[in-house]
Amino acid sequence: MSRKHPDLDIDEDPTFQEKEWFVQRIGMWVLFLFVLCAAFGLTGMGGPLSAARAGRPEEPVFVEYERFVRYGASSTLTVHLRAGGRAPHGVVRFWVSGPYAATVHVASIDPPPQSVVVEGNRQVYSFETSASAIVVTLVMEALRVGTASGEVGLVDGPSVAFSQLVLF
Amino acid sequence: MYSVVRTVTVYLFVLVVFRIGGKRSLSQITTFDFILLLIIGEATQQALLGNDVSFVNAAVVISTLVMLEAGFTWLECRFPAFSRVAGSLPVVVVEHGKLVEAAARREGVTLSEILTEGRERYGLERLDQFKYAILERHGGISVVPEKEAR
Repeated sequence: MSRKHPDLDIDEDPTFQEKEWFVQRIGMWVLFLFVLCAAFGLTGMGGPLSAARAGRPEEPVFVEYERFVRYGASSTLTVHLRAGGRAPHGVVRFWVSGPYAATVHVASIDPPPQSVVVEGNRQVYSFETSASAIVVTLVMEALRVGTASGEVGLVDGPSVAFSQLVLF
Repeated sequence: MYSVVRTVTVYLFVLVVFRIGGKRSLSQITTFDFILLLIIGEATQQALLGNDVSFVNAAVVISTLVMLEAGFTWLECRFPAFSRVAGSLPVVVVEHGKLVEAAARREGVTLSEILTEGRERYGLERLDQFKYAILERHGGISVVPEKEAR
């Protein structure tokens, strides 16, 4: 019963109400910060803080990826390859580390590889090309929540490592 | 298992967001509220079901939601403090013909809305004909007219 309004039988509690308004104000700020973080990419699906690179554009292997991805949602991994003298017979081969490949589902690869072979602890993708440099885009879906560390490299060449956070 | 975890997480998230939004956040269906309701409903549905449109998944989600609702009702009956935290308390926004400005501002209730409620339900013409206006837990406004205005 109301203590503030004796003639009104309602469950009123000014002390609790003050606390509720205080918590609601804090909650609104939390929501605002959450939206701000999302706008900058901290919750995945693009954004300046999510876009990341491993390696440098002038190096043989250079990867563009997203630091923050979402469980079950699509994200892209763009692999830039400069095979140079490492492309015998016009074939460029690069590998993705096995443990990383196990945590993602590769939905599509553009351009389509000539072959995909499991060699030891790696998945090796081969592309027939006359160009010295190619760009391969992998569209992937994360299958596990948590951190996912990956490595991508040219067969018999250098590699780059990267790490992603998969959000629920 | 993921369906149950997702459902519980989405339910609690939506509950917390609407508690933060305040009692008035979806109490009336204005054009804006209607759009908001549609979008939130669609986003929630996708978050709950994901890509799995099987009957089993829908059954798991529905059952989990009903169990959550039943659990919350039981907790509200058993623990009054939980009821306050989960569902808030009514707030007096007009007292003997005067707007309680601090409460109305914090709850996002305008004088115009209160007067509308008085006009619609009791044909009240002026604020001084209000004994009390109370913002209820569900976000609606209930009006107690002064005796001479009844």
